[in-house]
Amino acid sequence: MKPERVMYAVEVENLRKVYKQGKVEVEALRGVTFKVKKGERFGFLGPNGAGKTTTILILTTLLEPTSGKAIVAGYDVVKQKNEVRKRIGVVFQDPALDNYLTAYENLYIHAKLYGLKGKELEERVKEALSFVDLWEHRDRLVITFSGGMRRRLEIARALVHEPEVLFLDEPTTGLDPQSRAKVWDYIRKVNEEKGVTIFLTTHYMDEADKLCERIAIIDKGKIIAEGSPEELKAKVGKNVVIVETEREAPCIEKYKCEKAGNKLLISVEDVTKALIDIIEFYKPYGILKIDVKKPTLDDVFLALTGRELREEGPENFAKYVIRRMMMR
Amino acid sequence: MEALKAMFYRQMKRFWRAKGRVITLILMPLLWLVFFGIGWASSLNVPMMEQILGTDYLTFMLPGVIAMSVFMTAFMSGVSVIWDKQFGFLKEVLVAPAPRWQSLMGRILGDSVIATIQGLILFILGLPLAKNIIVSGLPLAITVAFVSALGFAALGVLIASMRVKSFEAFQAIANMLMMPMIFASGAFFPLMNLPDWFWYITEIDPMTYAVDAMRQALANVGYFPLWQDIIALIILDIAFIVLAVKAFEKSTVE
Repeated sequence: MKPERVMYAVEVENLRKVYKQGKVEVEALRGVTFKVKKGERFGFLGPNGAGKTTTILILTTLLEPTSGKAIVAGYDVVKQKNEVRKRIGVVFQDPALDNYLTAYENLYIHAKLYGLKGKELEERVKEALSFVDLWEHRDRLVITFSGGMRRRLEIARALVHEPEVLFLDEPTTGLDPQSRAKVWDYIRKVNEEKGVTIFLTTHYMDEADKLCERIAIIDKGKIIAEGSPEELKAKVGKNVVIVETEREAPCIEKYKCEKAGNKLLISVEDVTKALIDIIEFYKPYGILKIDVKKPTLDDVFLALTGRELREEGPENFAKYVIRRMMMR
Repeated sequence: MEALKAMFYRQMKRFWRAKGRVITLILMPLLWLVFFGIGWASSLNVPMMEQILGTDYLTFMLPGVIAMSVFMTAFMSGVSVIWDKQFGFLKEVLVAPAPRWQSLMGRILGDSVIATIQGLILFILGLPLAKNIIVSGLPLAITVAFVSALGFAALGVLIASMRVKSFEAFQAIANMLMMPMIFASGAFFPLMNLPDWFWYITEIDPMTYAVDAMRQALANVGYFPLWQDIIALIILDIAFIVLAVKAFEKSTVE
């Protein structure tokens, strides 16, 4: 074994995938290259239709790439499918549970599909169910489970055979905020306690931000940025201080500043230092409110593509100007 | 063989949990037996008829109806592949390192056992109607039911594993195949003096041999030698299973 192989859980090189729909060719992946280190929590962030699911299907051996190479847990996803399959756990975007079986039965079947039997099977299933706190619900039919419980059950199932890499495709889509937070906790726990490498896709910037140590931003089948959330946000740049005053006030000259209605938008690098100056300067005008806006991954995406990560309602003017200022 | 056992276990569990549905599944064959059967049996109640059929009409018909029920249940079980496609469970099977033929065989074996059980229930319900049934032929009848179910379940899976994506499409194809296969098989009438074109269809209809073998087991009347029926059914099993495995191995998530 080559030593450098061992360091990476996933290595992808110039991956391309073209779907043929009749005569029309759709290029879902246009040369994607990235690496995921062992033990890392890696996120694939991008809007719907960016190629995230296609990437996961290729990495989990369910789809063959048109060209390029992908190595997962040391094995080629095209030539050594079975070796890869033994070493990965997958939580698909759409639930893949049997609703008419109990939680225990779902995991029991999974364990058998992965060749486990006897005492070892029972112990692993019990451990996995306990890990996501579903052991007491083991005899309930899955159809009676809430969305959050199903997701947890799927995570448990993906862990039964002790994989090296866990793939999660949009793990919290459609969940309420409370269930989302819980799912995040479990994903973190899998990574930290079991040392499992996490590869997840998401279109939620907060999910990528809070959960992932490193992310790649993907858009239209290409990776457009890669790094830790902090690094990426630092690239976009600056914090914006928003000041509202009682009486109309001029722009502070020391910083880049713009007026937007009754608000003053000041872009700064060191927030603490700047705030001292700003407060001093505007005190005479009667400060009503001071807000600090730090750049988010949404802003990173906007800066790179000129589009929002998620198509949302019309933006208000202030938000637009804040965004624009961050990008300097 | 753990994967095979896993899928067999799954089919049995699902069947047991929805055991109430058995009633709806055997209702149709039962209605055939009661109304069609008693209807004809009453009007054909003449000595000459027993000579033609070799037995009374209801005894003649019960094995045919059992074979039909086994056939329909086994064949329609292929639809579970489509359900799994739609509800995502198929991905769980496809991403597992287990050989695909194993999980497929587990499914087919499970469905065949279920189809056989339903045939048995129909046998018990039909017994009071058919007065000349040979009860000692039951072990042979169960074997015939299981052997024919294997091939028909494989046929169902084969169709479901091909490019059939929706439940409705499967239903349409199933009906298109099932009805002619049942009608041409001689489940409801003797195969004597058929016109040539009819006979050709009957001869290539796999159901013909399932019905004939079943009738030999339970009524001791038949058209072909029993060994010929059994060989035909086994060839059918092998052919459909091989094709089904091939189709299922190619199936992807796309």
